[in-house]
This record gives sequence, structure tokens and C-alpha cells, in this order.
Amino acid sequence: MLKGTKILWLLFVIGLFFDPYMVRSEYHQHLLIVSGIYILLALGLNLIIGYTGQVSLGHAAFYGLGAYTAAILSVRFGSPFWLNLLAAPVVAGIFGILLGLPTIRLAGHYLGIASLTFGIIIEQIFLNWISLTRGPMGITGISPPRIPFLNFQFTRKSHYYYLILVITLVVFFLFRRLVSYRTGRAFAAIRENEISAKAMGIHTTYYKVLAFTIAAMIAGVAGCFFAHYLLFVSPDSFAFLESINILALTIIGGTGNILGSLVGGLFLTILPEYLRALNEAREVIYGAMLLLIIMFMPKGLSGFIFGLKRRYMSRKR
Amino acid sequence: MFFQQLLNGIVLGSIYTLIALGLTMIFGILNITNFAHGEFFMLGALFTLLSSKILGLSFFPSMLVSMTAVAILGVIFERAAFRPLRGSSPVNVMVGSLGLSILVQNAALLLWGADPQRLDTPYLDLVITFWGLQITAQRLLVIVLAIAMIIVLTAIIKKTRLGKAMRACAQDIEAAQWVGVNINRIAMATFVIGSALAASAGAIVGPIFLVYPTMGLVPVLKSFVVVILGGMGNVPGAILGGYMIGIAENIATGFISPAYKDVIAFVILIVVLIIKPSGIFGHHVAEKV
Amino acid sequence: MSQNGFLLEIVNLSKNFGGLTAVSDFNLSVRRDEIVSIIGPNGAGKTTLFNLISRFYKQDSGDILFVSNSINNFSPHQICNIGIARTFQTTRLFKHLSVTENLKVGMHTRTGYRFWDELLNTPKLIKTERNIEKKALNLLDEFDLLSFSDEMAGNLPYGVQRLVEILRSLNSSPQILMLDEPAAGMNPQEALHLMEVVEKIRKKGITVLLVEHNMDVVMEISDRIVVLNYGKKIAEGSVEEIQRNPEVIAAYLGEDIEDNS
Repeated sequence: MLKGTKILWLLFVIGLFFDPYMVRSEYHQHLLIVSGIYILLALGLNLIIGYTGQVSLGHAAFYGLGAYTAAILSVRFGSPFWLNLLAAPVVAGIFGILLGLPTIRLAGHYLGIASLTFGIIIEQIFLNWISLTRGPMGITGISPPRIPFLNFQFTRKSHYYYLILVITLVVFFLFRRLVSYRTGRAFAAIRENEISAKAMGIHTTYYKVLAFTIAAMIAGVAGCFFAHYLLFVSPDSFAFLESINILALTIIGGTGNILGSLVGGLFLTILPEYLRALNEAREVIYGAMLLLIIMFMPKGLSGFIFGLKRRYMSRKR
Repeated sequence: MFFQQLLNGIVLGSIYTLIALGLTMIFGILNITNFAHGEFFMLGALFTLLSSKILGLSFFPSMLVSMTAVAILGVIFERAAFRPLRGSSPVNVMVGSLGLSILVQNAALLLWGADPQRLDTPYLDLVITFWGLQITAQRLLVIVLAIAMIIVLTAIIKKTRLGKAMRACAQDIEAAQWVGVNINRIAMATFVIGSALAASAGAIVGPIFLVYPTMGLVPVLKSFVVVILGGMGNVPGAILGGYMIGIAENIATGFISPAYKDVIAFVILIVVLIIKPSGIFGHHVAEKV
Repeated sequence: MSQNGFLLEIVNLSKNFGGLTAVSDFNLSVRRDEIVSIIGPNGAGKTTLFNLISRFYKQDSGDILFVSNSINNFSPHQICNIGIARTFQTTRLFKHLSVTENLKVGMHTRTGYRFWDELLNTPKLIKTERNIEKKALNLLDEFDLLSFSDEMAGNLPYGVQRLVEILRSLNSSPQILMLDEPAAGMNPQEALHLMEVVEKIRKKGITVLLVEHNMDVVMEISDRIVVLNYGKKIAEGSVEEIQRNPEVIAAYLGEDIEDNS
């Protein structure tokens, strides 16, 4: 990254830390919190689609698995948020392997349909395994996070805001390292040309499953946070339509780079909310945007931004 | 009891087959996985309802008007969305069709509201009994329609020049172009046929299950199961698969548990994809090393 | 050390596809530092042979030994690690990655650090990454491609792309490099340059196994030539021996006559 870009990012992050003091609106904070969740979801899906070149149309399943893990552990076993934060990605990750491994020989259309079906099956389990998930009624009574030794309970939106901010930053840092070195090159190689990736010694099965697993784990973290924020989970939040939602964010924001997930999660959550007048037509605009972007700007908004940057840089020379 | 369930399964299978036929053709000939296909089904029902309400037509004329309207929309979708995406990666086409699906579903929601609406026909209440089995006339019509459409489609594919060109494209689209097949025309025809088939299913089923904007979602997902089972692009496979899934689903509901009834089809799908993705009748073409 | 000095041994290798015999009872022993070319009319089974050696196909019968150890049960991705690298008939570059990044992928099996090094950004990682960058750039420089280092591989002229593919495989420090029709689509100038490249590779002590149609290239650089026809080896020997071999001439002339009719 260029020095200038680094400074921009730093300013941005500092700005985010001071945001609750500058904008004292609970609604605004709620939007940013929700954005944070979707940034995480988009990041994971981006890893699968943008970096590794695979398909996953059932991503809400991992989100839901994380949320339900946290909910069940919290309500049934009194497990605190911090423990669930470890458990949820593990459970989601296991299911990531369950999807990634059997479908290893599938690609394109077939993988799309397989991942979609996987998402539906998980959703059906949430709906029908009543003894575990309470079905359509959902699980209520999840405890908010607490910091034990300080006896601090998470009550205000700003508390949650800082929590998701920190989680997102940590995930960002780790993600960036994940994709910058040998592992990241392996993902890219598989995306670009799987056969010659194999010839270069890349264990494609391992890396494809790894991509699914890590993406699932990140979604699991998002789900755990969601459960402890909303204090209620139900199958509605993790249906096929939610998977399409996450997909739309990821694609429109831009695949193949971290900025895309940031743009997708942030702006596409905030923008529609502030365009209240268009609320009715929001989903229509969403669908139209997704279609138009994939037709004319397949690399998404971040691709467009990087294109501008490239043109700006080459003009400077 | 078993035979009643079997009969119901045949009705369900007819619905799936009608939708799956278009889906599998669009895939086989144009290499498009069209997640917006359920919208043709939904619009088929919706436009039939509108025709009867606004134009005051009786059921069958309404259905024909609806099928025509949907076919026109199919052509528009093909031109506006899928033709520009021709040659893109499968992911892009799938994402595009998902975008289209959201767009159409929510446009319908916006324009006509989410409330399920009744589409009345005189055939709903007419119950026919034979061999100890019961079936409403409307449901019998579903089977009749499916059989009629299968016959017409088979005739088109086997006996017409269009059908021959379609089969050529399904085998090798590049080679088909070299021998003079106009891909744009074939694409248009495929969408016309596919969307009309789905629309007919929606029209005939609308009276039974009520009409609402998201009614296409579950049927199209089940139809994907059928398409995979029968082999993507395989028309006889779609027919056989459609009835297999319809019957399996009904028997499972009747004898095992209604709760997980939707899951059965999807579990079958995942199993098929893992073991033999090319389906029962399809054959796998490996990437050349 | 290997028992009999052969780097690669192919013993009675056979492969059928349905009813079609692609390779039939093929035998070949390759020594270190040799340049062996495999030639034959189209469809003779040359690429199938490559795919068998690089384990993309499994043979029906026969053995393949590398440094006297059987590699029959290896998966395609395990070949690079033991020292066999290959290029493909069709260009299989990572088109949206830069040339340098393409080469870096070549080092996948030769990178010392582990997953945790990557996540924690350890000194070992930083040092190794620096070396990987240096090695890639040095390799490009050695073959006069340094000016292309930051270009997106897909934007390069075809001849350069083919070279970058070879360098990518070279970057994995192989003992044997298998080149599948490297001169395909090259003009005479590019082909000449290719021959220099292959010679340079030989000087590094790397054994080269070549499938090629361009006879100028084959005759110029090969130590030994193996001729395939209909999956069978019909001749093996030095350049002169092959040029004079009547069966070889017949095989190629036979093909020519078919082409003209």
C-alpha cells in the first residue's frame, strides 16, 4: 500500500473511533453496527468468490449457525459472549468443511446450486428442529456481553459499536495477512487457473476447503455478535433471501479486494436507510443494481474505484 | 391411500416438470443457470389473474394471454440481461439472474402487494372420483396440461428446424454457429418456450395455491433439483426427474413427516451433486488438461 | 542416490480412453542433464504421456519412477514438490496476476514458513517474502524479462507469456522440467530465443523433457529424440538416427498424405 493510502485508512479508523462522540444518534450507531456485521459477512464471501474464484450462494447458513450456536449456548448453558465468540466460528467452520469438502469437484453452475441447496437445508433445520432451535418462534433471552472483572454490562448502542469495530478491525488485519502471502497466492492461483495451480504444487482441495472454512468462521463470528446484539434469533434472518442479500453486498461492493467488502457492507447498509423515500422501491433498486453491476462493472464499486486510481496514477507519470 | 398419494405426486410432478423443462433447456442450450425462472411461474399466475379481473376473460383465454405476456417478458429479459452476459463466467450469470429475480419479485410486490390473492375457476370445486381415488378438476388439468406441453415440446424438438438448431446448440454452440445457426434467434426461442412453459404452470396452479409475488421461489428451487437429477440440459431427464421428485415428496409427506418435506428434495439434490453431478442421464465432460 | 543413474523411468506404461488406446506399453529412461524430445504426429499420445507423468491421468498399467521411487500414487499437486515441473499446451498463466506474482506462485512448494507465520507477520515471514521477491526478479532479469515484472500477465505478447510460464515452473527449482509444445504459435525469432532459454536451463543442471512439433527446435537442442505414433514408441535415438529412420519418415509422411487428401 502506498503511504498516502495508509494515512487515509488511519484517518478513517480514527474517525470511526470518534464517531459516537461526533454523531450522538442511536439510530446512526445502529446502522454502523449492522454495517459492521455485513462487512464481515461480505469479507468472508469475498474470500470464496473474489479471491478463490469459487461460488457460494448459501452464505447466510454460516451466519445463522454462528448466531444459533451463540443463542443456544447462552440461553441453555449460560455461556458468556466471549466463550461463544470462540464456539460460534468453530461450529460454523465445521459446517464450512461440510460444504466445501464433498463439493470439491464441483464448480460454476453446479457449485452454485449445491451451495444454495446447502443454505436451504440449514434453514430448514433451523425451522424444523424445534427441540433445539424452537423453530419459527426463535430463541429469546440471550444475555448481552459482560466484562466480568470490570462488572461492565453492554447496554448502550455505543458499547456494541466499539465491540463490532474492534472485531472488524482484528478480522481485517488477519484477513489482509491471509491474502498477501503464500496462502493468498494459492487462492489467487486456484481462481486464475486451477490446473496449473495444481502443477505448481498447490493442494487445491485443501485451499478450497480452507477458503470455505475461513469464510464460514468469519460469518460465524458475525452471527455470534448478531445474537448477542439483538438478543433474539429466528430462522427468518437466515433464509435464502438473506444469502442473496449478502451476495449482493459482496458483488456490488466489489470482489477480490478488501475495500470492496468495506464498501459493500458499509454503504449498501447505510445508503438505503437514508434514502427513506425510496424505501418501498429499495429491493427493486437492489436487484437492478446487482444486475447492472454484474453486467457493466463485474468487479464492483471497488473495481471502479481502483480503475480511477490507476488512471489517475498513470496520468501523473 | 398410497395410490392417492401417488396421484397427488403426479400432480406435483407435473408442476415441477413444466418449470424444469424450461430451466433445463435454458441451461442446456444457452449455458445459463436462470435463478429468475420462478418469476416466469409467478407472473404466469399473476397475469392470468389480471386478465380475468381486468379484461374479464374466462380462465383459459386468460391463461393464453398470460403465457403470451410472459413469453414477451422472457424475450426482454434475454435481450436486456442475458445476452450481454453471454460468455461471462457462470458466477456472473447466476448473480445476474439473482439480481433479475429480486428485481422482478419486488416490482411485483410493489405493484400488486404481498397479500395472496384468489384466482377463481370453475374447476376448483369440481371433484372427480375414479378407482377409489379423488382429484379436483383443476388438479387433473395440471396433469393434462403437462402431458400436452410435453407432447408439443417433443414435437418441436424432434420435428422442426428450430428443434434441430436447438439440439445443435446444446451439443456444441460454437460448431452450431459455424454451420449458420443464429444464436440470438435460438436464445430468444429458448426463452419464449421456457418462460411460456413456466407461465402455464403458474396459471394452472394459481387457483390451487393462491397468487402472490414470492410464489415462484420454492417451486423453482425444487425444479433445480429436478434439473440436476435428470441432467442439466436433458429434456427426458427433466420429465422423469420431475415426476420422481413430485411422487417422492408426496409419499414422504404422507408416510414419513410433513415437517421436513421440503428438505427431502434438497437432500436428494446434494447427494446427487456429490456422487454424480451430471445426474441420472447426463454425462460429464471433463476439462481438457 | 538412484541405483542406475536414471532420473525418470517409465516402465510399460499404458493408457486407454474407452476403446481408444492413447499410450501403449511405453518405456523411457531419462538421465540427468539430458534434453529429451518426444515427437510424433498429432494424436500420437504425447500430451497424454505428459499428463500421465504429471499424474493428471492415472495409467491403466505400468510404472513411473522418479529417482527410483514409484510415483504411481501421487496426486498432481504432489509432483512439483518432489521436483517435476511442467507447462501446458495451452497457456495456463495466471492472467490477472502480475508476472512477478506468477513466478512467486512457482515457489509455493519451496517456501519455508507456515500458516501461522503469515497470520502473525513473523520476522521469518518478512525475510522469506523478501527473498521470494528477490529470487523472482533475479530470474526475470536473467532471462531479460525484468521490464515486464509488474505487467499483468494476460496483457503480455503471446511469446512472452509462454516464456513467463516456463520461468514460473523454473522458479520451483525442479530437477526435471517438462515443456509441452513451448514453441507452439511462436515465430522463428521467438523459437530461436526459446532454444537459447532451454540451453540456459540445461546449464543450470535441469533435465528437460520436451514435447514439440517444431522440428527446427527439436533437431537443434535435443540430445535424444523419442518418436511416438498411435501411442507406441516407434523410434528412439540421436537426432541423426531419427532423421534417417524410415519408420519415422513413414509416420510423418503418412500423416502428410492424409492431410492432402
